[in-house]
Amino acid sequence: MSSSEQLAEEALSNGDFQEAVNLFKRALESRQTFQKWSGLAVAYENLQAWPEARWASHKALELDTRDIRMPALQKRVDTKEANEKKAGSRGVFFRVHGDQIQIKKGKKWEEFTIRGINLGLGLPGFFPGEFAVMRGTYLKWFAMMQDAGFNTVRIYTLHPPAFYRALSLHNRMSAKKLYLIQEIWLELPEDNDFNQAKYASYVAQQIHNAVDAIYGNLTLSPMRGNPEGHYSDDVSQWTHSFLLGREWETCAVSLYNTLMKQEKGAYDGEYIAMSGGTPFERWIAAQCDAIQGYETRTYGDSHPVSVVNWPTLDPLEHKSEASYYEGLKRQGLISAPPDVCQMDEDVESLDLLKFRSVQGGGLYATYHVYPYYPDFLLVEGLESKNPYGVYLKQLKNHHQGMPIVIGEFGVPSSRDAAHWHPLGWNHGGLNEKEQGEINVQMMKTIFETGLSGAILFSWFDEWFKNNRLFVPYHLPRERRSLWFNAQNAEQTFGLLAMYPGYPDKKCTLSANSREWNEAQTLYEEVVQCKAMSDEGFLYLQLKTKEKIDFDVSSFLIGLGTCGDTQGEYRLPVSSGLLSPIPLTFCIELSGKQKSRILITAPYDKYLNHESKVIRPIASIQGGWVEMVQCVNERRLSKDLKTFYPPRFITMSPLRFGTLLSESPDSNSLSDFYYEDNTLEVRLPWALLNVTDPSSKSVLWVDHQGAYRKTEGINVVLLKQSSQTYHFVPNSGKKEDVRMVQWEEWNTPTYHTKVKESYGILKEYLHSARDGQK
Amino acid sequence: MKEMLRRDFLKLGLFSTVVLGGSISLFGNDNMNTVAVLMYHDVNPYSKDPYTVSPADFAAEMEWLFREGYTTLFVDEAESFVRKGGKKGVILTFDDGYFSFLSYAYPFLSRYGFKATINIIGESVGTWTKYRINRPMLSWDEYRYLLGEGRVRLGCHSYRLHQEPSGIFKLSEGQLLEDLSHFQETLKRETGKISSVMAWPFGEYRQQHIDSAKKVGFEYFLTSNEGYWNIIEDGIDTIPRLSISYKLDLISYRQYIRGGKNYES
Repeated sequence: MSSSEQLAEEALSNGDFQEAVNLFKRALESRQTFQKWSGLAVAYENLQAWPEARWASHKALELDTRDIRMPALQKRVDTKEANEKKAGSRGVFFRVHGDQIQIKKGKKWEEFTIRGINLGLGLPGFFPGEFAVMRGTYLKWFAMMQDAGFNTVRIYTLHPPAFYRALSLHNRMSAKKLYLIQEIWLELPEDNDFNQAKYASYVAQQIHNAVDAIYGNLTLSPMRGNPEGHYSDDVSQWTHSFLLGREWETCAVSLYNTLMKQEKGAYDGEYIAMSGGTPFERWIAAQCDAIQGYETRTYGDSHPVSVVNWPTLDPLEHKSEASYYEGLKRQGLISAPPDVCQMDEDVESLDLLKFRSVQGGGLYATYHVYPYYPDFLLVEGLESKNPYGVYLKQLKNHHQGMPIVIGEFGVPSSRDAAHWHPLGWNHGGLNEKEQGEINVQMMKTIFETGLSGAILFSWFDEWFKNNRLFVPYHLPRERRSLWFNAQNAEQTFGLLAMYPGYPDKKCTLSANSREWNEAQTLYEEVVQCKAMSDEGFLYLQLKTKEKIDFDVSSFLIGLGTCGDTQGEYRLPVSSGLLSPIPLTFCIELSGKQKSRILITAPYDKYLNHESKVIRPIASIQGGWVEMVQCVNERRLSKDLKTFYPPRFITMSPLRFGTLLSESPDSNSLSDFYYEDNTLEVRLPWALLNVTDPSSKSVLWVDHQGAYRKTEGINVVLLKQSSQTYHFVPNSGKKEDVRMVQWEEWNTPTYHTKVKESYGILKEYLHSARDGQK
Repeated sequence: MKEMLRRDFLKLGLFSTVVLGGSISLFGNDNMNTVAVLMYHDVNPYSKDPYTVSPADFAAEMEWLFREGYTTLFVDEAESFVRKGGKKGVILTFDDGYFSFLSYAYPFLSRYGFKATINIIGESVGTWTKYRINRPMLSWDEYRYLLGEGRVRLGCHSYRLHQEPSGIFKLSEGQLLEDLSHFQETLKRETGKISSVMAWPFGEYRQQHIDSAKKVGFEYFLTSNEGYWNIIEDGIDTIPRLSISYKLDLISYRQYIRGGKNYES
């Protein structure tokens, strides 16, 4: 039995059926067998994913037509499916009343504060449009969400029927309910014209589908990238509200307003009206009106409605935000305005103060507010210790009389930050404990400001997510869901980690020899060196004869990731020693606070991205550099008088620590650990300029392309003690250099693990009394 | 214990030496009272010219200084450093005041704890200059930020005398004093202090210019004369510097810092 298959069977026994799906699919990549297909069918059956279970069981039967277990499984699946009836009862139990959102309990209306969580779809190995989350997983997650203390889940688009069935099952079984905010996701019109007939018809369809789905009254035919099936569960009684849209991009708004000649006007709907609004605001009002109109006409009542908004479009002025063009012009970097619309902050706004509810469920405002973006949040309100709270108060003051919900907030637990914040509420570069603490501070601030809800971003880490810093370096682009980039802030917002490997971390950085039993042994001279890898990291272990003491000796690990002709030959040591093979990275292990990873200068992304050539070059110059990244660009204030300097992060220092939570040295961001005579290093793939480990692709930018395949990673070692050196391989010969190998994959393996931040948030939510802020 | 290793010898015929014991003076200049004053201008990837170093080269140069244990100094720290027997001292200076200092130099200086002196052209602050391409310059807000961080000091590269070579020779003493006073007043207003460091525009000066500049608070005078600064013997009136441009590869750079001795690395 292959190791993936063994792990898949283990996942079945552990009840980790969603993880088992990936593990069986991975096992099937090497060889298709009856056992693997039937195992997959069993996983799907346990996930209550009837069509998928059927499909897998047929695939199994193709390989063993005489089997009787699969027909039995099919029969069970058919029966269970047939016995599932329409469920749920119709009702609307939420309304907007003044500046509150209220819930009906018995005959009385009470204030309801959202303690919510945002739920995505991007399981490891999948993009959201593949709808990989199965019913059993939803059920498991709803129980965990409830247990954590959340009372609301927000989804971004229509999910498959499995979601609504699971919500219905959960709420029917649970005394405490989990309520739903259903977003109606909209793409933007192709020609910027929101009124164009085809687009208008698309929008109407999305609205009808969302409303019909929550009432269990929808059937969708298969269409790529869309959910499909029969929606027969009425979850209207547990639906809090509908949420229109997306984070509307500045240019979509400004180009439409320009198309409509910026004419201010009113919209007088049956349910929602507004006056003195821009063309875009009128359009939004019309859609909100359409949602409540359709729901009332079809089902007799209407839920509250809201629209996604964010600081970029807020109705407040931000004096610290110059436009893109003005900022560059002031610096002499541009003379004529650019042809293409620029995504400026603070030029357009969506102001719900102009809106009012005429009748029906009512209207409230939703904002996605992160503490570190846009940049005005880094400079305004700093006098208070909580600039985040200062901004929320401004929003509340503006929207007098209308409830406000913070629809997204949170910080990630990535190794490296993507944006700097003056008080440390950065976009990443935080360990799980810091993530939890800052999330709680933000949630507290939202409630102390008297807002009607806080919805944390997000439930689980999604591997497909991109960030501007990595967009050029996740290549091939379509494979980015197949691996985990620990450096990427966008991939690590979750309270649940989706961590490579199953059932646990392959390496916990704890000098545990058992973890290295299956590892590749590279060298056994001077030091024993082993290597292994998974969907997120390269792991290296050194074992020496004596106890590791950095006052006596230090280590250098040279890595050649791009073949055996290009890279730096001269090691970064005073003696100027040459490696027999060219290197791209050198890891210096010389102390708890001093260890770091260096890169050959022409291969560094930040230093070379303007030249458009980022590749190692055969050299004996010995040019090694640390890796830094600009995370905040230079900015100017609107009056062009104040300059805000750029900010940087450094990625080269290696953090000492272990991933074992019970240890005093525990830190989820640990890069290396040592104890006695064992030293272990964990390196994220992206830090090694690997653009996709699943296809063994490494960065190589030149006029021909941006990446190329590698055979593996060559490893050399240097142990330095006072003035003596031991080089490994001892012979110093190229042919004795060993290479780390790994297999390619098309389905990643992973396990789900609650982060420390989950526990911290749970403690906070439980300490606040139920239903109150 | 086995100590020696086998090494490859390159076809180019360069040899590496292994240090076995004791210390080697890698600071090549025999006179122990010298400090290398490095003159950088711009660090950017857009232009190859005598006043520009590429970001990759600059970062590699700083990494080498760090790894080799060099101590970076402010100009007024050189004397006490040398008198106490300090051997590997360098003074990093950046002329003109390019914004790219923040983009490509400061992140590394900050990482290594390095000190730097920026010699500012007063009238260019907060705007841009043109030399082959438009180059944004640092602003007073950014100078205040850098001063607050504690590792940068500011020097004077004149207020508005950096417009054409030999311009200084056409000035009367009064005109020179007017320009330098204006610089000092501006600097005091914007950062709270005047400067004691003067770097002549285009490296041009005569003795009388030094005498005049001392009247408005300058004490240390950086030139563009090539050399190593022997502070004990040569004083502070005409400090020689080593100009760093893209033409220096790393091996040449190291030899330059060390004083020209033929060490390979």
